[in-house]
Amino acid sequence: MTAIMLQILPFWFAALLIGVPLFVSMGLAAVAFAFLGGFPLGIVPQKIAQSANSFPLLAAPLFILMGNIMNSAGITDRIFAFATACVGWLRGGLCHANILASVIFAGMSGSAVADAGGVGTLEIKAMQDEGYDAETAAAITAASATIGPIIPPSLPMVIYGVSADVSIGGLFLAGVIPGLLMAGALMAMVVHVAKKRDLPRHPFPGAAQLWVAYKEAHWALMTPVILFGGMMAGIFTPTEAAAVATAYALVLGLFVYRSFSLDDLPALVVQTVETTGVVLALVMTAAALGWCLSISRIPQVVGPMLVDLAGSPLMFLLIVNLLLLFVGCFMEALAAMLILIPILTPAASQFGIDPIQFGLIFVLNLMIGTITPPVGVVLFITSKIANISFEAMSRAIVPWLLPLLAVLVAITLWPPLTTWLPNLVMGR
Amino acid sequence: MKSLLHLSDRIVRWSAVALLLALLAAVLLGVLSRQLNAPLAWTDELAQYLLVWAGFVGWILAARRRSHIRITVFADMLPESAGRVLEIVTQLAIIAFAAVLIRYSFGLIERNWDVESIALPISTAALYIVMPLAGLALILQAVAEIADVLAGRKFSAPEPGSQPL
Repeated sequence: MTAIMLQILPFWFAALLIGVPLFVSMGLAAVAFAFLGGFPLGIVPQKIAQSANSFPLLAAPLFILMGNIMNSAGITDRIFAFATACVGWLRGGLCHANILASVIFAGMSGSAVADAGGVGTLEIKAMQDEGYDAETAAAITAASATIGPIIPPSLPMVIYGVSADVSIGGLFLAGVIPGLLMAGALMAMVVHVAKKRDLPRHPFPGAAQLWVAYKEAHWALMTPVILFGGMMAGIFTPTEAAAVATAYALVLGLFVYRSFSLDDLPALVVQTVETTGVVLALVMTAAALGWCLSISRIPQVVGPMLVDLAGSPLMFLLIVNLLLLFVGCFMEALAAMLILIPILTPAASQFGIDPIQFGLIFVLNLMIGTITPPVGVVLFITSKIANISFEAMSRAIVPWLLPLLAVLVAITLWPPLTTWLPNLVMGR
Repeated sequence: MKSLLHLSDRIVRWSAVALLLALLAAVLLGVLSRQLNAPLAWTDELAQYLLVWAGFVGWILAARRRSHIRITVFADMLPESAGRVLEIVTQLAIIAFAAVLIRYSFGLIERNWDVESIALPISTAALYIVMPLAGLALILQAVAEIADVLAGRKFSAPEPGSQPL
């Protein structure tokens, strides 16, 4: 069985590189394995359909829908206005507000793309209006968008949890501290740049003005509270939290802010189902291929090989980080995740690395991958919003990668940053 | 032909809306009924079935809008003619995969026809009923794309906004 799989893998990889849609190449690899291994071919469609018959996976379309509703219901405007009132008076104020708004938005959306395309549009425009150059505005927006999927809720963590069989609630909790660290590191970078370039600041708004901005954003700011509070108190699972928060966002847009009408809903839902289709096509076929890999005992072969190769857990994590950063430059995060999970996680568990810490390292690497050229989804979006070339965008992002890489190093070297909170709350 | 395509697109879009909103309602009903101390047994299972169906409908939508994830960095470096050959090979691969799905999903439906679901009064064959349709849509789309390549028509890559993460 192992030999069959090892013969199929090069073909699969070739198909991947010539541009066959990833889900098709994984599905065909599974079909080839079933055929050569003498299994009934029906096993492939069966695994494909059954893998989506999963309760945790329900969180994926719900979080996507919630982000879409939040973005189109004008909730993001209020959050950005609130963030500007809070930190706009610091030097380089809008840079800080940009980061703070991303942190708040991260608490109600699970995707870097939703952050860059939603709140990012506002941020870049506001910064350009105030005389910031387009490159800086776009670069800070792109860098802070990566916080979106690290602070819960998080779509990549749902997919990681389902595919690697790790607690999604645990991953969510583990993301809180690294997400805040990313914001802190980016803000520190802003302080440095602001002093060097003498960036503009707003006058201090005063407590009354701050209160007004807070009241405007109050109901929107309650979204993360509901999500978190509900999950921490054990009232609902991540999936149920996603449904409740989606309903809340709908009520907010339809009745409280009246910025959203029922006529807008069908288009948003269709968009959501399409994105869900892209995600699920990969998750479903990856599950079929994953079944083939485990039948052919590939993890048992590759795991020890990686363990021998790396020698120590720290060396292994270093290799994993470099590999993921490299792959992230050329591949979409979701694709890279589903391909590399079955290869890397068995070795990680042999080294005794906490699966939650490993999940966070995995996700953070791939999120940094969304802002590294030549394939960086978030960079594409921000360069388009700021109306600058992808090359200019790629140059502008470089200094802003450093704070994020510093956080990556920190969570790699010091497990409590990711494991302390889940252990505390879930009593592991 | 055009109007038929238009009609089928409309049907796919409206079923997407119906499925996802029903999914949302089912999960909410599950939370609500549990909070009211009268938990309903069937909401989770229903939501999961709806997810499988919505997933396949999403496959169709993504195929129609060419937003399925594929790695094109390397193919883009090739000369035009080689790129066109590769595109046809790619579309043929899609047809082969979809054909396997269609061919064997009927067997799955037949075999599971008499198997009852755990909480819902329907057969577990329900899991597989949308798969042949998704397969058919993939094949039709791939045939159309091959026709486009042969006719020399080019399409721009999908907007990166449709990328999920």
